[in-house]
This record gives sequence, structure tokens and C-alpha cells, in this order.
Amino acid sequence: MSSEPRKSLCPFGVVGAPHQLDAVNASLREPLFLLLLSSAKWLSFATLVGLVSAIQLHTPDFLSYCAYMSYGRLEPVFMNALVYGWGFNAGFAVALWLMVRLSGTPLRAHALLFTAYFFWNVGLLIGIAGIIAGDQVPASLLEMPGYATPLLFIAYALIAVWGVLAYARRERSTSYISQWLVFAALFWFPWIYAAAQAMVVQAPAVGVVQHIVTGWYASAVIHLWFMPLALAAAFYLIPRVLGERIRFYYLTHFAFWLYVVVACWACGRYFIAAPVPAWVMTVTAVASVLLILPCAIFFINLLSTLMPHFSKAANSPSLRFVMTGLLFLGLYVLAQAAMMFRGLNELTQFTFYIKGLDMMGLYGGVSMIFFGAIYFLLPKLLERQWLSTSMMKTHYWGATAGMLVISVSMMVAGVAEGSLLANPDPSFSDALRIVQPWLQARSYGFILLLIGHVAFVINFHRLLFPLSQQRTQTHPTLFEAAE
Amino acid sequence: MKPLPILFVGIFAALAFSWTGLALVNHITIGQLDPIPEGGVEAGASTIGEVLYPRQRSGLAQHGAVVYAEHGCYTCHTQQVRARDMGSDIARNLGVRQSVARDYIREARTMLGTLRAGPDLANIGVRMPEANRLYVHLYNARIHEPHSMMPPYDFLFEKHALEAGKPAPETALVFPDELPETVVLDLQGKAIVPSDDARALVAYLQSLSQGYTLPEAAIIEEE
Repeated sequence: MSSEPRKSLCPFGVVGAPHQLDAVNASLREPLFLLLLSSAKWLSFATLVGLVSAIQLHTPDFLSYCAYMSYGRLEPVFMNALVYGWGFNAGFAVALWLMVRLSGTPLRAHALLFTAYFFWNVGLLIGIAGIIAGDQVPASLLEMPGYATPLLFIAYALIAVWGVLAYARRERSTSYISQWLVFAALFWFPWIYAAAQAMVVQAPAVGVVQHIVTGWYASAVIHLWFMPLALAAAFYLIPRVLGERIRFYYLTHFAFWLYVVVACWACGRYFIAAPVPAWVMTVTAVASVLLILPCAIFFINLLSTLMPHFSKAANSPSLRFVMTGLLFLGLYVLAQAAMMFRGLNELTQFTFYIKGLDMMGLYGGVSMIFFGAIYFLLPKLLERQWLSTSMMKTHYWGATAGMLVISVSMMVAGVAEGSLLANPDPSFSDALRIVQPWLQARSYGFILLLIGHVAFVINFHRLLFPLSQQRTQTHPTLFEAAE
Repeated sequence: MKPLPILFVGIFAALAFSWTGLALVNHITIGQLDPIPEGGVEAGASTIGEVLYPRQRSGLAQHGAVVYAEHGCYTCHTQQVRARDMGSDIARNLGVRQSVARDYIREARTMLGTLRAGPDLANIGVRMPEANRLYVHLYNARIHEPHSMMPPYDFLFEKHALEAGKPAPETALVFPDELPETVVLDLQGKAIVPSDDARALVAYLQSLSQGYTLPEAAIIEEE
């Protein structure tokens, strides 16, 4: 990035003297190291469990000898490990890194963060073990039993308190869109989690209120936690790597507030034709469609900055992941909005379409952007470069192809199944026969994903724990060698 | 540019608004629903001894709901019937009317579900009332549905060796004479007996029925 000082539009161009930067990086090194190491472990575990449960869906006898290994437990284990293990650990790392870098002051209160890190991962282990033991709560993304979740809540509250304090104590008076997004995500989540825990897990509310709160929560995990963090990372990485300002930056104010208002309500997909009050279906469906608007503005900002430098961006590992992630996020928002329309909702509701949608929202877009952030930030923190370009490429293509195969096969299967079942004559088992090949394709998608993740984990470990004789490289590792 | 209090108040207000609307308002309005006699309450309270709907489950069936959750049945089965003009739920006899909020007020944990990898179960107690049929389906779903994706729950059953000259226990499962080619069962000289969990689960499934009329969801007889 050019060293010329920038004005408020791209505030991180003027973070301060180099020694101050070093102090910032040094203060981040240990907490991020721990968080990312855990996230990589949870990612490997989740991918393996996901592959097993994907195979079980088309070959029901596969490894289902006992209750602990049956699909009904492995699928929630997979989703919880993916979301809370990989997504949240990596999300914490990205949030801390963005907050600290953008406020330009070294990270304080390490003890608070280590406590939070410890509580989060121990709580998660207990929660996952609880699901396997049969104590799961029957609600999407809230399956972890009530005796594990208070630990998660305490851990989260500590991190959120820390993040809000970091923003309040920032030394520069300017603020940037990434800071607002991270601030909002950090602040929102403990409230949502507390509300959902109280009304669904600890003291279940009456009847379908549980379903309403679960739908509200499960959507909020994507819209109020993962998506703001992913967008914040994209708003940081794209100008940082390209050395360009965000185009049409003034639009981000409007888009941010629109996003804040709309995203809190965008949970329509859980309530289509459900036994809930009609206004709940209407309002949430409208919000789910309206969500396109702020996302479109953010995308205009990001893509118009990216496109003039496309080849440079595609050559940078972090930006290539970010671009792919943005593509998946955009597809997710559109695919979700499409589900709100009469006709398509009739076809896709209750079909495998929603599995494709979940995967695209919870894994595809967000994880790709987190990977991009990790590829960018780790070499800076550790002052070492990634070792293997081929591993990076394997990771990129494995994750992208796996994600595409999984989500597209599920969406196609969903529409095919729904179109068949819209007619009362074909039997349910006819529909199952139709989706069978697509479910097999999904398992192949998981194998691709696994290949990609194994490459990532190997490369990651070699960066974290270098061998002494390893060559030291000073320039950043790119996809194509720089001229 | 963006002072902290404005940011703070703005994002808090947006979230509080959606929580109030979706969680709190529904908690109050749906919380006011009571079980009522079939067809509704005619001017005043119901009489003593009248059957109220939705009906209270037996203790065994309530334990069955816990078993249902524990094995993640809700990950593949919904328990909600859509309205007549929405999909073919009623045409394919998943229920006689759409499900409404009152149907679920007695459930400790509501398991509406989001995916139908298997059929809807809101009225399985009406569609499949016979216990043996449900047990066989749990033991291995492909005995009756060769294309089913349902995993075998044979670990919910106990295998007893049959003693020569003695009849099989009364509770033993009765399998059809002809099994599909894809299903291989080793049942020679053995009696398959449901465990306590399996009995509770089947009692729960048998209790799943929304076949009564509520004022907000009338059953329309088709010509």
C-alpha cells in the first residue's frame, strides 16, 4: 500500500508511526494465535462430521450402529461445530483484529480475552458432548444443552464488553464503516443469545413462540453476527490490499442504518405458512426481501472499488477469497429473498433448498471472507509468509467447488422435489428417489470441502509452527509470482 | 463522524424493536390461548368434564417427546400442516386442516421443524395408528418404504433369543412375511422387543393428531 497519507475515507492509511504499528501487532499476536488455532481445529472436526452426516442422508445404514452416531445427532453436531467452533472463533479473531487495527491502539486486557477464549471453547466442548449424549434442544442452532450455554454466554459477553470498550477508547476520533459493523455485531449478539436462551432453552416459552424466537435467532446468527463481520473485513481488506479508497463511500452511512433496521427482522424463511400470526409472516418476509437493498449498496461500494483492479485482486489470495465470499453472500441474500415470493415459497419450503441456503449463508459467504482475512493478517502478525502457493490454491478451489456443489445441488434438489410434491398424486417416496442423486452429489461436495480444508490446515500449521531450516521469504505469497 | 451514543442507541433500538415485535408481542398474545372444547366456547366457560383441545398428552407420550428430540427426529420431520391453498399438504392427506398456534400450546418443546426429508408428522397418530407398524418403521424404515432415508433405530429395541417351544413375547415386533431385497435382517430365532424409549416414542407418535375443529381453523369437508 502506498504510504501517502489518506483522509478520513480510508482512515487506516494513517495509523501512525511504524513502532506503534508493531506494538499493535505484537499485542494481537497471542490472542489471535489461540483463536485461529481453535477455529482451524473445529473446522476440521466439523467438515469430517459433515461428510459423515451427508453420506448418512443417502445411505442411511452408514455408521448408524448406535444412538451416538445417528444422523439426528451428527447433523446438529456438524452445524454447531461449524457455526460456534469455526465461525465464532474465527469471527472473534477477525473482530478483534479489525477493532484493534482501526483504532490504532494496542490491545489491552489480555486476561479478559484469555478467560473468554477458555470459557467459549470449554462451553462448546461440553455442548457438543451434550448433543451426542442426547441432551439436545430441538431448535435450529440452539441445540446445545442448557448446562453448557451459560459458559458460552459469559465468554461472549466478555469479548463484547472488550470490543465495545476498544471502540469507545479509540485514539482517533474518526470512524470507519468496518468499525460500526464490528461494533454492531459485537453489541447485538449477546442480547440475541440471551433472549433466545431464555425463551427457548432455559425456560421454554409457550408453543410456537419457541419457533418464532428460534427463527429470529437462527437468522440473526447470519444477519446480525456473521454478515456484519464479513462485510467489515471486506471493507477493510479491499482498500488495504489494493491501496484504493472505497468508491461512493458516502452511501455506506445510509446502507448501514438501513441494514441495522431491516436485518433484525429478516427471518421470513422460518415462518412461511407456519402456524404463527399472519403479520409475523408478512413483516419478516418483507424484511427478508428488503435486505437486498443495503446489501446491494455495500456491494456497489466494494465491487466498484475492486473491478478496476480485478487482476491484481485475483492474484492476491486474501482478495480472491473475499471476492468469492462476496459472490456467495450475494447469492445467499437473493436466494433467501426469492423464497419469500408466492409460488417459489410453496415449492421450496420444507425441501432441501433450505439446506443449500443454510450452507451458503452460514458457511459459503462468511467463511470465504474469514479465510481471506486470515490469509492477510497472519503473515503480518507473525512476520512470516505463507509457505505454499499450491496449498493455497488447493484450499481455494476445494472450498469454492465444494461449496458450489453442495449449495447448488441442494437448491436444485429442493426445487425438483417441491415441483413434484406440489401435485398431490406422486408419493413421497417418488420425491425421495428424485433427490437421491443430488444428495450423493452433496457428499462429493463435502469431500471437495475436506480436501480444501486439509490443505488450509496444513499450510496454517506450517506457518504457525515453522521448522528451523525453512527458508524465510520476505515478499507476500501471491497466486502468481510477482514480476 | 459517528459519535458513540448515536451508534449505540441506534443499533440497540433496532434490535429491541424486533425483539418486542416478534418475541414479546407473540409471547403475550399466544400465551393467552387456552385449550377449548371442540368447535369453540359458546358464551361462557366450558362445563366440567368436557374434553378440551388440544388434548393433554399421557405421561408416557410426554416422555416420548423427549426421546423424539433426543434422537433429532425434528431435523428431518416437520409437525406443521400448511393451509389448503399452500402446497399439497391437505390434498395428500397430511392433515384435514392447517395447523394453528393453539395446536401447540400444551407442548413443552415445540418441534415444528424446517425440513421434510421424511413426511410431516403432525397427524401421524391418525395416519398410522397401529403401534406395530410404527415399531417396524423405527426398527428399519425400508421394510415398508424401500426408498426411505430414515436411519435404522434398531438400538431402541432389545433382541431376545427365542426358546424352543415357547411363544414369542407379546410385545415382540411382527414383521411382514416378504421383505424388500434391499433389507437384510437377521431375525432367525430372535424376538425383537421395544425398549422403554421406543414405547414412549411410539406413544408420542400415536398422540400426534390435529383432527379436531378449532374456531380459527375449521375443517372444510370437500365435495
